[in-house]
Amino acid sequence: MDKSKITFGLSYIETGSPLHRLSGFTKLVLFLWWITLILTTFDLRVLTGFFIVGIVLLSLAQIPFKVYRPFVFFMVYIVTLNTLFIYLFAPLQGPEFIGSHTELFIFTKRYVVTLETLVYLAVIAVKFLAIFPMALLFVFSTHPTEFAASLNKIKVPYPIAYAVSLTLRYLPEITKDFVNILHAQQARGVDISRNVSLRKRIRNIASILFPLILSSLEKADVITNAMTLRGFGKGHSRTWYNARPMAIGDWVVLAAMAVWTVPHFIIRASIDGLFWYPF
Amino acid sequence: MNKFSVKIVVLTAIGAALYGVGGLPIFGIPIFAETTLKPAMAILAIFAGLYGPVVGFLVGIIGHLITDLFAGWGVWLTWVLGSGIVGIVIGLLPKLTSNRLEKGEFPGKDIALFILLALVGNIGGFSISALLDFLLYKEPAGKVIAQAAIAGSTNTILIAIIGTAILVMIAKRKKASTGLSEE
Repeated sequence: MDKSKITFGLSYIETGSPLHRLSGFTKLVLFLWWITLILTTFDLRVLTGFFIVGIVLLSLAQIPFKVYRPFVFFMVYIVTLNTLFIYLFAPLQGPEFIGSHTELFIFTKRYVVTLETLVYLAVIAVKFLAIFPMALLFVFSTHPTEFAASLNKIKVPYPIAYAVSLTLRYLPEITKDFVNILHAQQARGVDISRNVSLRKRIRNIASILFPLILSSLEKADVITNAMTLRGFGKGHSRTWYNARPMAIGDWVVLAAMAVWTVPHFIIRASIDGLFWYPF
Repeated sequence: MNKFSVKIVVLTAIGAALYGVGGLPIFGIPIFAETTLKPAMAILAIFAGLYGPVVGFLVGIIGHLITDLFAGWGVWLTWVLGSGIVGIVIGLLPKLTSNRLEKGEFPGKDIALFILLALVGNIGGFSISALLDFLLYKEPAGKVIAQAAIAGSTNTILIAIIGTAILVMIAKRKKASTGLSEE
């Protein structure tokens, strides 16, 4: 069986790069700040800037490109498809938002390509693409338990932060159970591939999920008992073994974010309308 | 603190992990250009239907976010929120049916209610996702509405088939383990 179909693509990879040495808190704040700023701007210059900085940061993490190459291709494919759909649904959305109309060429009466359309489609595509390197960077460089610790540090209640940590802890375990059940059922002739009819396929999926859910619920009971016995949830706060203290590098990154925030919104306010359009 | 009991924390984590497994590519049944049918949503519905809105919401949010992050297909925050809302709405089931499912009963009218909640949750949740895509990405309204309609309807069908089938099996099992009487 194709292994890529039953495993999760990404995980934490220790390379000892400067980005790995940053505290998880800094990286989480950076990630959230990154998404917020990208979602609030429609300026192609700013978005391209974010995209390039994102790629530079990702390369600083020293993760070998071949680890995430398939995901890059997949992302490019999805974004291309998405952009194509936007164009097919509303070919004149760009001129409408920007307020001018510069025709470049015409496919049919409905499908006209204007310069505004290209700018508009580029903005949306780059918006998606600019978030992507930061998501990869975050997963590659933040240890799962440190992720939970940093969630707690940004004031997410610790039971929820702990639930995230437990999810990451049990994801491989439950994937393993799933593969075992899948193989056992396949040995009994349960097929979930495209070789059987859709009806049968859905029924077979249910017959694999049912034992998986039941065994997971039993596991949940065991974990609940273990955690209760150890007094989980009795205190108002908790400490984290993997929390990393803030170092100079962290303050530098946080300061850089603060410094860029001001011009970001000044640029945002200085253009008429939402989209930056020079022509 | 006791707002989140240990049980809720653990069920959320296990549910979110299962949601992740349910989203693995092996299950993917392609039905439309950008949309594949995956049982992750059915797992969300089962957990919400069994354990209520808090678990439903958290499984939706955490499961969807973690899956997106670790499967490497980028982060689609607006759709993460949609999953959370689906979880809340289906999570009303235990309250509305006065916990009958917990006692091993899942009669026809509860099944109908379960499917209805799935429909309402999907319409509500993905309308909000579509609205946010429209506001934050300025995608054309027609496109996001079509996308939400396709995602919402296929999810509902999936929940109605797989979710119901598994909940019926779980109810049967619960009945078998509670129907003991002293002799």
